[in-house]
Amino acid sequence: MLRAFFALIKLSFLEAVRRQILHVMVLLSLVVIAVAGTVSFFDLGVQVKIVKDTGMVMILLAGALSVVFLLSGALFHDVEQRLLYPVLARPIPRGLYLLARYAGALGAVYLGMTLMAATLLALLWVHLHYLSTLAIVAVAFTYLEVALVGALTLLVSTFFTPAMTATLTLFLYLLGSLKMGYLHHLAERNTGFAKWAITAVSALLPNMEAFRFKDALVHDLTVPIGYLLMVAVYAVCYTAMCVAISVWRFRRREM
Amino acid sequence: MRAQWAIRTEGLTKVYASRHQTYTAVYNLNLQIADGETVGFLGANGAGKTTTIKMLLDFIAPTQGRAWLYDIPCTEPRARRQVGYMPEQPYFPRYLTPRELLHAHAALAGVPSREVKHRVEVALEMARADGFAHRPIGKLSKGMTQRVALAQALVGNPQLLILDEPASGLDPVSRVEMRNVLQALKEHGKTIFLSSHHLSEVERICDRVAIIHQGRLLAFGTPEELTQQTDRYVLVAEQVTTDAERALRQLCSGVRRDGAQVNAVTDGERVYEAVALLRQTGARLVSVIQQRETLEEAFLRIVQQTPSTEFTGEKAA
Repeated sequence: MLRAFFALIKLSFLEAVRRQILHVMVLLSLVVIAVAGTVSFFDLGVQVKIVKDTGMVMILLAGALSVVFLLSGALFHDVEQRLLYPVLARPIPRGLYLLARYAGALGAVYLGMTLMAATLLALLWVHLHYLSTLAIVAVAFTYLEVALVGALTLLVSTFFTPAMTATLTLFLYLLGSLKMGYLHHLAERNTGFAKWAITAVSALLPNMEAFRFKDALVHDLTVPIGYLLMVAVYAVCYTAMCVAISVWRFRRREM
Repeated sequence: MRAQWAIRTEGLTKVYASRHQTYTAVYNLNLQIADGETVGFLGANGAGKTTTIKMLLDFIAPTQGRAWLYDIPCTEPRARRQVGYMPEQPYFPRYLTPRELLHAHAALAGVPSREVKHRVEVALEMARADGFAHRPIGKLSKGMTQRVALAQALVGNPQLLILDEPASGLDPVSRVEMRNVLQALKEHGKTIFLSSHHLSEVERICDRVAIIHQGRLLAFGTPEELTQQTDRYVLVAEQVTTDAERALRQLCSGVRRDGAQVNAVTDGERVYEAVALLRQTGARLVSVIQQRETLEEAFLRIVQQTPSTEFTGEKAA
């Protein structure tokens, strides 16, 4: 079963790394990070802050958009193109296929993100002459955030068409990013059912802001390890929940 | 010990329901296919062949009834351990070569690592796909892709092969090659469940034939059981003079001279007259054979005898 799983991951990875959207995202981000790190308009302190800021934003943006675009049409494409039939005719559970599809696409995105992260860390090393631990931590949590966005995309894709999935996931992602600030503020300004509904929606949405350590990195702040652990556990649980619901939904789907 | 039945279905039914209408694709299908049998599954487009196969492979859930593959409910993944499936119009990742694809499918089929390379080469050779195993699938012709699909089905060395229109879209040469491969698999004792439009091919290969029409199983038996004797007789004679041949044309259709022999076809009413004529003119009668229906004729007869039943209906409010 494990060999079958890895064979499926490999197929999914190979398909994902061939997608032009991933190439464009990675190249664009690498260029922006490289430009931010090499063209100096400011003194060293400001330059380093700009490199950190731009680097983290580009890694997150490229990673999140790539995973949304890769996974939003993956299942739909497999069913429409009938690529799924010879695979599901094998003695493998559907859930395994879905997991492998997710892992393969995420692997391809992680490959691109690793290139960006390596460029960012190399530029920081050039400027600072040491490897920033907080930069590595911040990048690691960007990986977790992208995994969560991928799982959310997978979940939405088991219900909707690719275009709808991409739109809805990005909308949820945006709402999740505004959750702590805007939605909480909105809940406090309302009463009764409206307050309850906003609070419920807010609780269900993923808290994307929890993963953002960019500001801490830029301003050299320290982040308590307990908080990091809590965010990591939250990411794993939320991702697992999204994947589990996707599997449940996909198992019931007629091909 | 292997189960007696490779495929068994009980009351298998599939109803598709939209908001306003229901459509019965398969109705109360009861099949029992023994291990080692080759069974042809015949039906017109939309008869329910592919829907049945999809239910057997758990791609779709039956509305009613149950199915088993080697006595294992087909809803369980392990039921497909002994199955090789070739889909109608197969699609595979275009960037992979047939060899790479088969390596992946060998892993999916649970072939032990040390045997993968050997199994892949055997499957490619059996399907006659070894000549282009290094080229990307996207650059292969339809016939070549069909052969890759067959190799993919064979790579796990399955005991049961479910083939959905394997000769679909193939040229006559490729079709003969496909038939030869299936014949060889049959001789190896494989169970083959073959959905096809090509009745002559089915007639040549299959032990039994199931005819499905508008979702209902109309007939299931050997080709001999399904076909009937016709009222047509084929006469073969030698030393037939030109005058005798001319007279024979009055009684028979399809009179044609083939070297020293003359062949003619007539019905039961005029066969005795034709034989008498040949005797009177000094011709030597070689044979008189009563013709049997072809499977195609039997299929058409069985389907046409069945009153058309539209399995669509307005949904109750």
